[in-house]
Amino acid sequence: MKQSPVKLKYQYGFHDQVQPFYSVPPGLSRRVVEIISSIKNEPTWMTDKRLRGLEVFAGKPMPTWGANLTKIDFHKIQYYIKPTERQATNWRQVPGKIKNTFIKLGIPQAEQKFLAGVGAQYESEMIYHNLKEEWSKLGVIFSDMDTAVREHTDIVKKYFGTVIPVADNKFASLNTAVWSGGSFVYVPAGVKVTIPLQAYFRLNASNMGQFERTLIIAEEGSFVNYVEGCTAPIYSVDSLHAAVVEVIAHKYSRVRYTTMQNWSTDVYNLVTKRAVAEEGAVVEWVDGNFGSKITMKYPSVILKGEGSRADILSIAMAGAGQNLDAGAKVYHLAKNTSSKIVSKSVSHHGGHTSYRGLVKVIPGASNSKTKVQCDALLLDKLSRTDTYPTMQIYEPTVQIEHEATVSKIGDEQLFYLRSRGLTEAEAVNMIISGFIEPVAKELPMEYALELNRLIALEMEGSVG
Amino acid sequence: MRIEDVFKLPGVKTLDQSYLSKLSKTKKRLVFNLKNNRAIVNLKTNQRQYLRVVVKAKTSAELVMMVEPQSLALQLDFSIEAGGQLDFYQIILNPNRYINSLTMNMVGRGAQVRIFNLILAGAASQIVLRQDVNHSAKDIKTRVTTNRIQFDSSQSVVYGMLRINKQACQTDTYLSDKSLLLGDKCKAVAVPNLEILTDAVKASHSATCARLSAEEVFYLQARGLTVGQAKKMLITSFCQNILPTNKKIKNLVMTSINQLVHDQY
Repeated sequence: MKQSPVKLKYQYGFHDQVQPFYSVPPGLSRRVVEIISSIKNEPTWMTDKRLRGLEVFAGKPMPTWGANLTKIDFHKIQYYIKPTERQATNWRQVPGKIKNTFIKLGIPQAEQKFLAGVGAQYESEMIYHNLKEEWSKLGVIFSDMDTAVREHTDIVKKYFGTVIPVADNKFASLNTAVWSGGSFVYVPAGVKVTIPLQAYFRLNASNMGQFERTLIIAEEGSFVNYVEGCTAPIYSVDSLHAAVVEVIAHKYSRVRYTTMQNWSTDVYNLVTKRAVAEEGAVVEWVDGNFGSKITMKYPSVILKGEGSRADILSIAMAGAGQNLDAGAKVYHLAKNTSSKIVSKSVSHHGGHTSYRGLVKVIPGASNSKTKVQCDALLLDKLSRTDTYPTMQIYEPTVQIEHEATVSKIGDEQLFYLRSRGLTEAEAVNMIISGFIEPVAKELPMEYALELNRLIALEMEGSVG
Repeated sequence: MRIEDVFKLPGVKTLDQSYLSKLSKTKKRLVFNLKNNRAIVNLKTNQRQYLRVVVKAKTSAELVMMVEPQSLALQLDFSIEAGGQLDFYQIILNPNRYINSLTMNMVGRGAQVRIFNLILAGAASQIVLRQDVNHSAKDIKTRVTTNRIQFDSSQSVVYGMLRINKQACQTDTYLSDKSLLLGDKCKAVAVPNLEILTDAVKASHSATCARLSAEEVFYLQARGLTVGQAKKMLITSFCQNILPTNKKIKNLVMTSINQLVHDQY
């Protein structure tokens, strides 16, 4: 007898009746950009960058490849809302309604001894920031970008927009114009931050976009692990999330950036993430995409220094009405560089996943090595998966490997597990968990647990 | 025998007589074998060419194309009907400039095709291959294999799309693209794509790019071969799995390969 799957609602699909302290009207204009900059009390150079971003954004056309973005109406989006007047520095100072939201997200569970600090963003503003004293003594800076622009101007000015320039793409220019929130991490030379730095943020108003800007600088010989996960309530109109993440890994440093994205299925998630790796540096992107209506995200690494390395692990799980267009890009610009890209995607209930990747090796980048592996699971006839890798090899002394497979769950695998007493739903969950294991094992424990929960939620009704 | 006769072979057919008349005016040499439904086309022309081949239901065919032009743009359209089988060999021997757009339409249930591309590029060769394989029926099996050997400052771009449409369940398809880069300034671009619109398929692709393994060269040297002999042996073995089965054709191809490799080492 077929076992009915347990119906579970999207337990994060709620929103609070929050009264924003200050909001700008919907739509994008020079006036809106100037208001945002004045609210944040920014230096003139940042205001100029914002206005330059607005100018570039207006001149760039929408991309004609990838997912369908024609329904985005930039005039209806509200680009800034500040929910509170001041930023809290400890948990007791967080306003009640907002704290309730974070309790539901599980932030108190994450506030444990092995976490260095939590910066939480709510409606485009960092409202909660807690940095463990032990790391601050070492000179580690972990704050929101708004604070960093004011208090660490020299560092921010030196690196802001150097990895992802304002004209990189249309959504990077939009982010430059209206960015708000995001994290700033600076790790001095030789310091190893063994405890993951973690941040949460979420949307909570219809037609409100989120444009956080994250900047991570790891000086020579340092190590940092940054983890972010985000959720959003369900609304009937579309939301836009166009973030920019820049990572600068100096000589022999190591940076790991982990993202678990679970936006509700009315969100456009268009993110530009890029890192520059100097000599001997290692950059690791761990990217999980489970939510959003449309995701277009291609974490990339520029291997600028000799001996640098990039590891990119990506999961995408697309359900009904979702189009997750993710991938990875690596540029080998120096000798003895290496990279590994592992992409796992699952399409179910009519979902559409795509892998879009680029590996480029320029002349002179001798002895470079790269391995790309993209695997896809199709769980039903309604779903779709595409693979669009590109390898541009302009240096002969290299080793390049790429492979991709697409298949459905094998009947033999299912039969094997069912003959051991598992139901079909349990067997499917187990097989999918095993399929994404190479990526899941790299996650912090609480994220791995959440990942298992997400898989179970996504797979409901996928059997039979 | 004339070109027209080749395409009257059972299972191999062209529908456009006007292109045949154009072909007959160009420089070409044609060899074919009636008994085994094979056709061999040796293209040395410098013009744009179009070729359409239909493999009828439940027939098999083998088409070998050798390309040695100075400069050629070629468009190939294939249509494989139910139960049809085709082995297509494209041997590209050091052209100056060659652009090929190949469309393989698998329209009948149970159709099978194997595409073998051997690219031998030296000097300043520029080669662009575009291959689109469209699966539109059930139980189709396709294999696309491309081996490239590049010397000097040659450049090649191979674009391969395997598209499996909604009705093409039980499809088994695989694309392989391997490049040996033996010149100091050669360049290779590989773009293997997959578009899968249904489940119950086996679809995969792979791409590799490297130069000769130093370990393998040393292994052969330790058996008494010189460096040049070792490299020649490794390069010719790289081609073996994608050469036509016909001995005469195989010898013809190997002669051309040996000549080009000999010039290098």
